Amino acid sequence: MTAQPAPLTTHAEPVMGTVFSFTAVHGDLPPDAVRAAVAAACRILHHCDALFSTWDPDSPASRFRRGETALGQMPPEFTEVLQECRAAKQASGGWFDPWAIPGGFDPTGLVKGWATERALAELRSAGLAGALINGGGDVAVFGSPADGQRWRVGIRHPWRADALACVIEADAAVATSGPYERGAHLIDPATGQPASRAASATVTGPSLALADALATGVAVGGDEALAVVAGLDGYAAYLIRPDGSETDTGGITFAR
Amino acid sequence: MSYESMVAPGSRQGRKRSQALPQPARPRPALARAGLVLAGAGLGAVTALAIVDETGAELRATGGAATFLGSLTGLVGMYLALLMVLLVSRIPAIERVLGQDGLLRWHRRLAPWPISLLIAHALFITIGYAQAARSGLGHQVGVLLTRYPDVLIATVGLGIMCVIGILSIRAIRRRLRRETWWLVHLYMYLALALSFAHVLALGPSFVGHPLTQVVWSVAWAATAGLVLCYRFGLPVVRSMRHRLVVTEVRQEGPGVVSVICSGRNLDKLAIAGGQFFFWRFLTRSMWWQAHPYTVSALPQPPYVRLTVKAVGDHSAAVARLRPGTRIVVEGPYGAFTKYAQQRPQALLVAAGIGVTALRSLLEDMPRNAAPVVLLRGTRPEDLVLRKEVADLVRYRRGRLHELVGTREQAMLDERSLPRLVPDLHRRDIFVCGPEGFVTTIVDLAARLGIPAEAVHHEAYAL
Amino acid sequence: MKRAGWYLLAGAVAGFGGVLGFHGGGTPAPATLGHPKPGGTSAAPAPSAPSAGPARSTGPKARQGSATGQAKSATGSVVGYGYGELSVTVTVRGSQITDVSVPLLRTAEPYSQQLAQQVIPMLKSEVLAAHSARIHGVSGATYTSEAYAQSIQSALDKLHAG
Repeated sequence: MTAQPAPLTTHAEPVMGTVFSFTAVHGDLPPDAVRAAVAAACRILHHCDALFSTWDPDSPASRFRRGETALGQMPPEFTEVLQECRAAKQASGGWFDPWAIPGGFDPTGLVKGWATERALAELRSAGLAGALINGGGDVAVFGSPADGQRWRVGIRHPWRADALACVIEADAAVATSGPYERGAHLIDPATGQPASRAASATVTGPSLALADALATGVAVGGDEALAVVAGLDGYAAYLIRPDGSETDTGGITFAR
Repeated sequence: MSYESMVAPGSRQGRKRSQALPQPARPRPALARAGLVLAGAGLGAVTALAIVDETGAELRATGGAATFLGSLTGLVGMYLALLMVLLVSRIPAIERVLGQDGLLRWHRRLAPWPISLLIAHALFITIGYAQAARSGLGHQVGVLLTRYPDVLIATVGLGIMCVIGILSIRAIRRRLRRETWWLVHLYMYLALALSFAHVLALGPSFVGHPLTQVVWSVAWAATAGLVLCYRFGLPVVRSMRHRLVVTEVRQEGPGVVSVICSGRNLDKLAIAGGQFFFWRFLTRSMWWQAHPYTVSALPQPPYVRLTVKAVGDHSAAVARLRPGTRIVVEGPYGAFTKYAQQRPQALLVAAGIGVTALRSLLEDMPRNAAPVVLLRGTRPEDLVLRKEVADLVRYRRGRLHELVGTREQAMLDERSLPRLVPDLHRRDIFVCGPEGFVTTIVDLAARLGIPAEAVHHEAYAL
Repeated sequence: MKRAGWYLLAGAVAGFGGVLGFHGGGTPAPATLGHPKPGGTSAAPAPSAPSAGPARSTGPKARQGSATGQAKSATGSVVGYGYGELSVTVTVRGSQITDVSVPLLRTAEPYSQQLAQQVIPMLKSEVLAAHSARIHGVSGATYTSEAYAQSIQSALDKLHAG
């Protein structure tokens, strides 16, 4: 490699019950401006957390789940997320269904990606040459890490926490879902039972929010949901089945 | 009829084996040799078993070599442990040929091997599995103990074996009371029982090989059966059949008493002259110990006699036994019998309390035996039973030499012994007494060029 | 006993030979899990597996570019792994390995089957060491803050912390 490594700043921000990782490529900006941009992005994340957290019983989302608040009384971000959920449900052929969660409507599968994209937009408007935000496993990028390079994102191995299953080159968003981190939290909408058709599902595409939702859908639906993603323009999926076999829809650039 | 009149010097009955007494079974060396061949065959078979299923791919794989060594050491170690148990199970056919002391000698000699092999087995398996799983040794130990069936109890069994092994080291064993050591040693049965399950569940030679599983299980069951039968069952049956009780205790000399016991069905007790029993006198302080004492005169139904010298707690307590005390016996054991004799004539040498074996051995000899008998003692009163011995020797047209005095006064060495016994090289030598004395005489015989097969000895560990 | 050693040795040789000879014929009769797939082209050597503990794939897979051309399958020979046997099928499209599967797994008893269910996924999925892959981030299922601390992502974040 002959390209000079571009100056990078990384930052880890605990929010939404996980840790968001920022990698900012300075470009022409001074380090102060970079830090300011990252801080602004973090504030956006915390704001979303306050709105949508289903862990906090007093958050607007929790109150909505319990039926204490009507849709008209919810903040505009909530309505936006709701619409995104509807679109995602339709696009995923029903495999992503936040209304099928026991306890009421739960947009968590989509919110993280959605919030990450808004944070990324903040960084883009600040003038950075490139950035990568990893929202607890969902990755959104723009620009490039160095001249002529593409962002390289590893996919975590479903059974070995310290290893990767593969490496892909990302242009926009990479979202992965699977039961290995938090156990059987993915519910099959058809049966209401924990899903077990995938060990790990990765979806790439322009929108992290949709990719996030689709990844959840493929993690639940396995090969069937894979076919749905294949039918969506610009989106691709990579699936690791519980028996260890792998497959993908094509359209993902694997690197070594 | 009193015992006195029966065995008194000069009386017919005391001079030779009573008509009523059955001859014990001859020892058959062929059986012992067959046993050796079988033992060797088992060893070869388990070694082959470990090797035969191993493929080159398995050996070359990560951790393959260590795991293979683990299988091998485990199989051979367990097999040798079984052999150890068989050696002390007192199977009559083997005991008759080797004698109790011979069996114990082999047992002690063999002992370090199974324990070392089994420790090596545990180490190799842990290393092999850790290498295959690419995890640390410590972590692998945890995995083996918790997630593999029956490994935890097998490890407990191995721990028991190690403790027993350590306690059996001479330097440590000396410091223990004999009873403590004996009790701990009994736990070996438990250790083996605990180790059994994991072999069938995990051993690659056994998993999926039903025939091997059956053979292995049968071998273990047979060993357990033999132990139960001959180590525990037969003695109990014999004791119940004969119901020995102490009839009289009489002084024979300084510190030496004879205990005359009476029992039932003694005409069915097949015992050879020179053999001994383990005697368990059922008193409050002695019931849980069984000590070996030689039968000092062949049974004259309903009487049988043992003669004991007080050298320790138990033997001192024998002198205080009260008539009517019930007795449980294990035996008769011992290869120090007329059957060991190969040449037509014999030289019998005894010192101290060793005269007991010599005296009953004499009783078993034919009238024309013409034995030469050497009795060794420091003072005249130390030669217990001398009148009986003199009478028995005279009846058999033999010669008796009483060597009384200190070691310097009555020395037995390369010059004095051939002088006393000119035809020494034509006789088998039977020597009996304290360990030091026996060793001296055995060495002396070797130096005089007498082949080892012609020398028979029984040493009393005092 | 005289010549005891010779008797032992004779027995050992006999026992050793006997077991070897007996074992020449006869193989274990284990339970079969899975069905062999219809074979494809020539057999490729199967990855060897150790006799105990989890098995690992020893061959790396190369994936470059997208899949082109017809898919071809090759099934390796059956390999014994101590408690049974397995064979591996590799599917290639163009120059890209797209699938690895285990069509035949014969385990000798249920405990081994249970072990195999954990082992086979590790066998098939390619494992890359993160440090050698020169990545900028790791995508995976959502991790908690606690899990983050152990993750590869946190190691990456520490590299250029600002």
